Amino acid sequence: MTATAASRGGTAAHRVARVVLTVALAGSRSPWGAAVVAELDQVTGTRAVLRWTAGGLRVAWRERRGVRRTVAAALVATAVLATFTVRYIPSASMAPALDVSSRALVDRLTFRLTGVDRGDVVVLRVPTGMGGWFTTVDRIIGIAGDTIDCDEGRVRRNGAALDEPYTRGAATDCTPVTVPDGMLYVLGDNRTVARDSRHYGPQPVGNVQGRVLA
Amino acid sequence: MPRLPHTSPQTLLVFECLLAAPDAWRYGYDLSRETGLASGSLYPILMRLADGSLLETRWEPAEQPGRPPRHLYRLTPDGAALAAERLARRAAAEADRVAPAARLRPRAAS
Repeated sequence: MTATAASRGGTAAHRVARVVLTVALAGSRSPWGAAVVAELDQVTGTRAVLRWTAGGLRVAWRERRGVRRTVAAALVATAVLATFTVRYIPSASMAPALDVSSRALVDRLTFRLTGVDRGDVVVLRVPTGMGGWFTTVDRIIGIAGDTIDCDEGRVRRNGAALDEPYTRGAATDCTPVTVPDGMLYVLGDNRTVARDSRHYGPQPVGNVQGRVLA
Repeated sequence: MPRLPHTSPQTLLVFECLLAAPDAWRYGYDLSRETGLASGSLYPILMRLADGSLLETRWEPAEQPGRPPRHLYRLTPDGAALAAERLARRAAAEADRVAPAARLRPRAAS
């Protein structure tokens, strides 16, 4: 065997590389990772050791399907958790469908792909008018092009009265408006307390933060 | 048509290297040096060849106590035949690339 700088253990780079590869290969039953580690003694120079180790990690990755599956599952789980979040309902404006301080599952991603539609309950960011924002949860009543008005306590969309069982029969009073492009008209179900498009008008679709699933 | 296996330039480098001394057992590190392939490219190739019974492997017991045994590689007869065939195929393809220019030039404009 060639005499290398490595007496027992070798340089610091060798020792680090051996530890890294040993950890990466723990539990592996295939011989290939050990084969890469065994050659480490021959490699001289820190850069060469790093290159050899990087290749060894690729080998470890290749031969350990279990690890690959775990990492893939972790990535999927992260994506799911980033998409779906649970948040507290900030007000009573959506009662009784969503009670104040109850929790709701919010989808923060897929509505960006599918768009939002009438009837969707969304988390919406609304400017306070004083430079800040507040977050509200409301139901989409009108989308771009819809004309919304109220007649004897009932909301009408494009002249047709809506059937709104979720309001429990509360009367709604509003100013007629036609929703501009890229905007949404939203109302809280709890019409007597909700602050919504009746007060702050249609809001940009871009301010939707998520869609409430449950 | 599916791509022919064991024809990548990297695999051919390994074939050349192993065919240079077909009966010798070779170390992975030496193959890496001679082919210029990083371990992350070389070992997956060796793994594929071994999976296909084109490469045989054995462990060399450590000469000094406390040293890990080293892994050795040699083409099987099947592997050597396939390696020779793949290298010949590439040589033929290269000859084809150089030659046909002269053959194709006289072409009537329609």
